[in-house]
Formats: sequence, structure tokens, C-alpha cells
Amino acid sequence: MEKKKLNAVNKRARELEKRAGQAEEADVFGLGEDVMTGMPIGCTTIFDTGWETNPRPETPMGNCVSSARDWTSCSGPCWWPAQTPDNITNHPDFQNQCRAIERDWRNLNFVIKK
Amino acid sequence: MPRYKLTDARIFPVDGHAYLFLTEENAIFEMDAELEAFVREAQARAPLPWDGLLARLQGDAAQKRDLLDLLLRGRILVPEQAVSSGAAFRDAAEIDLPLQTLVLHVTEACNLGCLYCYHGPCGQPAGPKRSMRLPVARKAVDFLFAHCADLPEVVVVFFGGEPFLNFGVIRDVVGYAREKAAAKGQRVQFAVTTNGTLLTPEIIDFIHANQLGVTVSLDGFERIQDRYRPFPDGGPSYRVILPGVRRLLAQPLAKPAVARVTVCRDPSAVPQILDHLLALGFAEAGFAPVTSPDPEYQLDADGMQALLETFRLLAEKFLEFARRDEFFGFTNLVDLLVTLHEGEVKNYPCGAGLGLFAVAPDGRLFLCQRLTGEASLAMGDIHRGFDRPRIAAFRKKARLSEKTACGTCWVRKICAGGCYHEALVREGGVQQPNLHYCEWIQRWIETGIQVYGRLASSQPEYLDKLSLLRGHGAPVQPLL
Repeated sequence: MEKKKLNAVNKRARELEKRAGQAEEADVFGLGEDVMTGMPIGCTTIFDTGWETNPRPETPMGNCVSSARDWTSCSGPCWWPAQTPDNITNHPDFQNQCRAIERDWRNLNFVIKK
Repeated sequence: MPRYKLTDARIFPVDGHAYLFLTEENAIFEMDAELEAFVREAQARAPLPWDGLLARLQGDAAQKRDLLDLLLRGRILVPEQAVSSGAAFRDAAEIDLPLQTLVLHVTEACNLGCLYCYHGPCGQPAGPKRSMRLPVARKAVDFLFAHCADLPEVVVVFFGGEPFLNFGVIRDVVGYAREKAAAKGQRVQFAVTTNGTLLTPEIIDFIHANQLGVTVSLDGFERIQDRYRPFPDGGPSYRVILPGVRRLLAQPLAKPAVARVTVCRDPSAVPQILDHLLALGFAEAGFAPVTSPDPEYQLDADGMQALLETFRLLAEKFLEFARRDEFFGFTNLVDLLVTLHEGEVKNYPCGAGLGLFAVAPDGRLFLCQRLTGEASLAMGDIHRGFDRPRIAAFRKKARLSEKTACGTCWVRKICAGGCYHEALVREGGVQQPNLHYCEWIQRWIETGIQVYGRLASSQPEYLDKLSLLRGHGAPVQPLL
């Protein structure tokens, strides 16, 4: 077997490695249900005052949403038309070439209304 | 452009292998030399954007991309703004956890007068010692089964005092709990912690018949046992206990018996004590420094250092056994290796107040067996039920994220602040972190990682076997 640069040794590491294998289906880092980023799950339809205001790692901790997180927070069932194309009815495939926003954001393109 | 930093991690070089320990995840990875250099550099430098990271790796573009992806998904590299997930989302404070283990304090009475006992000197009259009556004990079993949801298995532990002073209740409760379990389609396991004075043939037969897990509190050979664990009148206990212990260990037990040793004053004797107890036939022996507010018995800094050195010697011996695929029953190390192997992340130091509670003879519920009777820590009772607001308040304050002193400690997700009872005695409150032994725990876990790394590189299947021995994964024949 080819020697790998990085080998998971204990069970927890294997779980993380397994998650890496599924990365293509994963969403944005920090959005997965079992990822704990210290950030609130929220949207403007839920009135979370100040939830995008603190970029510092101090109290109130995680009181901000990174741009990567912001991206998918503002699509799907959430509604923020200024930021993302409507990917529910008109452009359902819009994000398909962008499986992980922090890596693939360059692949996102404009939506031209015909 | 997003930048990435190395997550909070430590590198352990072990026998030419480099291991990366992620403190937030308790994950352990092995790295090759090239990746180690990359990680060390990442540790030292400011966060880098993706392209900067790629430029620092060798290999073709696809390999580099896969590796960076793995580092990111494995949470080894994290976005620069990522904060410690100390404030965990999945917060036990609000969750209705099933009750899995109930400790029955079947009696407060004890027939020994151990000098360092945390229940106070029992040789002296300190009020009447209560025993649990049968209706209360049965009600406690009802309570366990009413609150265990659909767990496949529950555990009843008999504790005291000396629990076998109330053997009649134990015998009845075991039968009663079996009936309840059978009716509900669940399994029930039993465990008992005893001082070994009452191991009569009748009790030993009962232990075998019902597969009780037995822990004997025993401090080692005659001189030490008789000095610290005498009868209340000061009479020696070793020779009284020995025949019963030999009888107990004469035949293989369904659950291997373990000895539990309290270490005070003289840690240098630990290796001989361990040899002695294993020679008697115990499967394992575990050692804990005494929990006592009395400096007379506490291990001082030199004593703790000596204990660590002794533990390290025993770890070497453990490795020698492991090399021959044999087992050396040094509980402390086995537990630590299994903890490392499983990589379980702890936000609480133990299950007390989560899935484990203790019942006092009067039916009141407490956090654990050691804290039974601490009126300020009562968590309801088995008649009226859990005091939910109190439990929620306890869980909220006891979780790791509340222990600011632990915030930057690299073993925080293993230790989580340490024993509540020890913290009450030494630090003044159950929710305080045990700052008096921080450094000790860190060095002991570091020793554990050294042993772990050596086994992981040469015989990883041995680590799997240890995990199985502790009940992780599929049931197999025990190692012994």
C-alpha cells in the first residue's frame, strides 16, 4: 500500500477522515449539522439581532456569519434576493459547480435574465 | 480571500513517527516528515490563503489539493476566524438524557475505619448510619427503569458504606431488577464496590450466579492495608480479608474482578502493590491519590511527582507485556489508552448528573456515589422525581466551556476539569476545575500518548483489543 502523508490513527481521526471522503457532498464548512463552529444558525427571517456583527473571537462569541456561511444562509428556504439567485424555482442548479464555497467560489457565475 | 490557520494541535514524536493530536477533537493522526514540516510551519506562521498553502506542499497539483482538502475536512486546518468550539451546540443542560446507571447507596454503615475515608471517621460515633430499606431499593429500581427510555442496557451499582452489610437488600434487588428488565426487554448489569471483609461463600456464589462486576477496595500488601484500612478499633484487616478475596478469585468470574487502590503517602510502593494484587488473581488494579482535605494523607508535590514516575515505569512494563501480546492489568493506563484510541470528546468530566445518579438510603438523588449525602447537591428524590431545574443548572455550570481556566489546556477535552468530588474537597466547589493536578494530568496523558504511539505504529490491533475489553465495539472473548 502506498504510504500516505496523513494517516488517521484513532477512532475519532478515522471519523474525521471519513468525513473528508464525503467532502464532495458537503456544504460549507460550519454549516453541517454536526459541525460546531460557535456560530448561530440563523437567517434574517428569524430576527437574530446582531448575529452578523461580531467578527472577533470574543464575547459575544461567534456572533457573526462569515461570508462563506452567509452565502448558503441566504439561499435555499431563506430569502435575500440581493445576494443570491433564486435557486428554488428558476436556477435550481446554480450552485452545483460550487460544492464547497471556501474552495470553489471561483466557479460561481452570474445569472443573466433572458 | 479566506485564510486558514492550523487548529489547536500538538505534535508528538514517538520512535521516529510523528503524531498530531487535535486538542479540540481528541483525534490522533500520523504524519510523514514532509507533512510534519508543513504543520510545524503552519503552527508558527500567520494564516495563509489557499494558494499560499498549496505553494508550501510538494507533489502534483491533484495530490496537493486532495491533501489540503483532507486537512480542511479533518479540521486540521480551519478558517482563520474559527473560534474554539468550547461553547458546544449540543448542550446536555437542556436535553432529557436517559438514566443509564443508578448507584444504590445501600448502607452508610461500614465495618472498616479507613483513616482517609471521605465519609469521615466511621470509628467515631457521628450520628446513626442509615441503611436502605427494601421498599426504597425496589422503588429505586422502578425509578431507573422509568427513566432509562429505550436504552438496551442499564446498570445498577451497589455502594456504601460497605454494601454487603445490607446483603439481603442486594439479593432482593438483583432479582427484582432482572424481572423488570425481562419485562421491558432490556438488559441489566450489576456492579458492587466492596472492602472485601464480607466475601462469604454465600456472597461469592451470589456474585458468580448473577455476574456481578466486583471492585475490591484494597490498598495492597499487609503493611499498608493494615495501616490505612484497619477495623474501627484499629485492628488489622488484611488477614481477615485475604481468605475471602482468594475464594472470590479462585474461579473465573464473568466480569473480571478489579482492585482499587488509594494511594497516600508512599507512591513508591505502587509497582509492588500492583504485582501483589495481580498475583492474588485480580485482573486489574487501579490507583488513585487519596481525596482528602487533610494534608496528613494528601500526596504533596514530591509525592505526586514520584507517583508519575512510578506510573511511567509501569507504562514501560505494560509495553513489554503488550509486545508479547499479553495483558498487564494496570487500569490507569488501560483506561487512558482506550480513551485515546476512542478519541471521545468530553464536555463533562464524567457521567455524574448526566446518565448516572446515586440514591441515598432515604431515596434522595445525588450526582454520584461520592457526593451522596451532600445536601446542597441533592437532585430530587426517587419518590417525587428529578429536580429538573437544579439538574439543568448543574449541567450548565459544570460543562467545560464554563471552566475558563481550562480554555487553553491541550488535554481539556479528555479531562474536562476532573472529578467533581475531588473539586469539592480541594477546590471548594464541584464545578471548579481541579487546578491542583492540571500539570500532573497533562504529563500523564503525554505519557499515554507516547505509549499509544508506540503501540499504534507496531501493533494497532492490540489497541483494538483494549477497546473491546472496555466494551467498545463488538463483544468478543475477553483478553484474559
